[in-house]
Amino acid sequence: MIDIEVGHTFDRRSALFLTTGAVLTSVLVLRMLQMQVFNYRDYRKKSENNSFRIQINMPERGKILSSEGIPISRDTPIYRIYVVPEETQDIDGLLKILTDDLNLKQKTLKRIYAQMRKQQRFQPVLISEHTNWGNLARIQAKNLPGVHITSGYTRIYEMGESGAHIFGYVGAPKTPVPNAPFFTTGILGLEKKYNDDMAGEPGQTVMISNAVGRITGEDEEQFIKPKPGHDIKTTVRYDAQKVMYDTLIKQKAGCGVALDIETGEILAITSAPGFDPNKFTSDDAEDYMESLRNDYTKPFVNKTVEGLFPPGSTFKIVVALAALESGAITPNEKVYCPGHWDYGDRRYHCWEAKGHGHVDLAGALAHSCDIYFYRLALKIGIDAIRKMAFRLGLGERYLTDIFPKEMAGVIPDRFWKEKHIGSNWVPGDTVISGIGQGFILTNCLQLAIMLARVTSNKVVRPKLIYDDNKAEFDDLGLEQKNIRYVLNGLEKVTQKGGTAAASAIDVNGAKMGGKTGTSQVRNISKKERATGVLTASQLEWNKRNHGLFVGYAPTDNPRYAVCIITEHSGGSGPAARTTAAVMKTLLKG
Amino acid sequence: MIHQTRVSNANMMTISEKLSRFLWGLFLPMCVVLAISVMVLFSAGGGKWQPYAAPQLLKILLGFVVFFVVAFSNIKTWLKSAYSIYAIAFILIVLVTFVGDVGMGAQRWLNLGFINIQPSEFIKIALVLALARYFAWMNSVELTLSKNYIAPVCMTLVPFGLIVAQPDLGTALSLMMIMLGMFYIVGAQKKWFIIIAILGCMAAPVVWFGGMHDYQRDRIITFINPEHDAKGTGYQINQAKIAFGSGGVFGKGYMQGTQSQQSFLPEKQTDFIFTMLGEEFGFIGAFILLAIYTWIILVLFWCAKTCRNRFGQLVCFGFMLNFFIYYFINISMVLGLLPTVGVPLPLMSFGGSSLLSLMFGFGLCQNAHINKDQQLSAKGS
Repeated sequence: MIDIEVGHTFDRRSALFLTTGAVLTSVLVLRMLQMQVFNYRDYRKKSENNSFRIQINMPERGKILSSEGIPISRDTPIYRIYVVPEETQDIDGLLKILTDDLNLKQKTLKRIYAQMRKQQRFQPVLISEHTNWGNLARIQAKNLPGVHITSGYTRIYEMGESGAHIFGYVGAPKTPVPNAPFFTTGILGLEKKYNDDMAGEPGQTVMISNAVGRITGEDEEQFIKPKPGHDIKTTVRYDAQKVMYDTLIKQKAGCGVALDIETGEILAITSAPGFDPNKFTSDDAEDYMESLRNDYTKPFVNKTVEGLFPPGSTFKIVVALAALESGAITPNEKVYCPGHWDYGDRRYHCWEAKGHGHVDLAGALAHSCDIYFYRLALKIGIDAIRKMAFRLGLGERYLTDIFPKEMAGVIPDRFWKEKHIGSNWVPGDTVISGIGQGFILTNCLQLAIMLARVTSNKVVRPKLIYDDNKAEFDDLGLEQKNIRYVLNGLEKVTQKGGTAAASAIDVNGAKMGGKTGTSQVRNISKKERATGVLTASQLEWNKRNHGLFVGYAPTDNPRYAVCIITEHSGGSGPAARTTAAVMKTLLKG
Repeated sequence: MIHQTRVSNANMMTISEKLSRFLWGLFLPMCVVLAISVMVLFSAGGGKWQPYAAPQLLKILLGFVVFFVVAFSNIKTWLKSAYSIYAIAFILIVLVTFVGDVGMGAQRWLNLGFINIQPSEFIKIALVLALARYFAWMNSVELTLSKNYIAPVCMTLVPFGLIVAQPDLGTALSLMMIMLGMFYIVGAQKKWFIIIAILGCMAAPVVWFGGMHDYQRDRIITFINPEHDAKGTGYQINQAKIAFGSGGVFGKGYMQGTQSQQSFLPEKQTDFIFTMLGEEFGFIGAFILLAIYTWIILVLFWCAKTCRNRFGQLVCFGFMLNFFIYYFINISMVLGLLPTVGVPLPLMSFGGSSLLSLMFGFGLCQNAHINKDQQLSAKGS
């Protein structure tokens, strides 16, 4: 028997154990309730995230088409080759075979080995991202264990360097999209602007994975098929774009725009040198980018809208029209040009030192007589010139939705000068404005629009995306006869004795008119003028003048307007020749 | 009294007498838990008998042999051999300390060639047995004398020290709690418990900075702030909580636990088996198991209370303490209420040592209940 006293102690003290046990058991039950009943949703969500691995499947991106329907940028299937180390006996041997077949670089191999060390043996290692059909077939034929192949798309830029600024390219987004290592988005130009239209809708494959990431199956219910994106049709003519770039790049650097005068469609638009987005996905992408960044010809700048140039003598079209509209001159009035003109305390020089003699409006345009326009500008004043410049489309931005860096340029007046230069407008400023120098800055697109407006007498606006409804532009409201007077002069530019006579064309009777321009990069000192101006070849490249040419054709019924700027080409000859080449293509097409 | 006298005079009961006293209320819930264990282990094996369910079933069968042999044997055998059993368990602890296999930075396994055993599981039952024997004939005066506690403190502290050194903090603290619980119930003076509590608080910083492995410190930091290292130390407990919580009221269904089935849940077959149960059977499943455990505790307490010999009473009470500490620590740990210490869930977790020692313990309690009216003299005759 148990001692009575001892038995009492047991009974008394066991109460503490029962109470403690009850409290502790209640704690467990409450904790279970809290986790499984009250916070159930949170845990459930976490558990779902845990066990599913979502893989985003990229759709085929829409194409960018030329106006003829030729693909400019398109997706093409590629094959990504992976190796799962645990599935092969001899990983080094396998990599050796793949290195030979795929021509892998030492750098790539280094990355592969580094990645293998970092991850589990069952996780795939990307060997080659852009595998073409030929290599793929060779590898498939060998039936190597441990090699896995998935398909995807890569972007092909048919225009290469000639279209990069305009059509843009795709790349990885700034903030990576989870589960989608190959997600791309438009980075520049049309690829960026119309990304939503072209991107399509990504699909997903939901893989069931375990804790360490090994895929154990696929949840077919959650599979979503990717939806391909829509194509975008541009107004650009494939042939004209190619010719424009190929001709321009021979001049080292420059830019050009070709417009359809009636519709405002941009038929060609290019900036040289460009860059080739196809190379951005290659193994040497970094070196390539570095070389582009260091290039003094600035391949990344879209000079057609971002590059500002003094319009030079092409601006004489604006001055001539302003004068005619204001009634300050008649086209037959002649001005004597001895090669220079003294006004105030300065002497203003004509580019032709020996002078042009007596010139009327058409002659002044054809020979680009500076004296004529110095005096004309002074006669009508900067405000009239400025008003006409705006009316003809200068000083304005047109495609900022596609090219956010588009520049408006400068069409100055007294207020502008006070604000930006901080000094008063003097008559000399007006004089040099007459030949498109001084403060005036324009871009290539604006000059093409200017000519399109002059030749059509319509408020032409450019467009880059093709649509069927023909744009109805408002009337510009210039006197038709004044336009005629100016065009008479422009036609003579490419005729014998004109400043661009060498660039005359004749495509089945269709001829080109236009206007040359040279924009000065630096001032010519008195000493130089005394000893004779240096020729272009004697100067460093970046000190030479820019050459400009605005042209239109056919002269009897203008349809195309083109502006070409050749950077630091010395004179306007190369620009005129390029314009002629582009115009020939346009007229033949 | 008459009944009791008859038995004590006869000194031996027939098998049928023993069977009539067999406590089904303790045996059946034990069987139910074992059945649940096999079921969950089947699921843990991905719906296959291997690698968990079938081997565990074999161990359970072996466990039943142990259980029945112990339950129907003469209680005096266990009274007499209590210290020997303690000695054997202690020697095994010493052995594992010096030649044991290392797992998770701890020496816990003794490789006997054909089987790996975990002596720290056996020592818990052996300690209960030895303490019960020690206090069996002490009267209330002797029980208040502090000198009478020196020997049992040594019996606890020496294996405690060895197990801490393994290091297996969970088992070591369980031993300590069993000892304190036994001391309290037999009637030790209350002042000692206050003194021990104060000493414990003072020792804590010394243990923290001097006596702990980095992984143990990590576990405690992680326990206090589970986001501390969500991919490392915190991973296990975070995943366990997600698994358990996502089970909801009704669970994801048998063999449908996304966490457990896809091995997000580490140790799902051993220490974290309760999590798997909670994920697949929800609050209802987890609650039912807890209810059965509570039932077992209450039955063991009732056994202790109604036992008319001191040895049987203390064995039942000690085993009850042991059983409660076992599952309370385990469940608290997997629910994130306590730091992760390696303590299995009794009768549920995969593994033989814990199962066999528990079934041995259940056998002892059955035996004590069957022989609850028997007088046991100090001479052991």
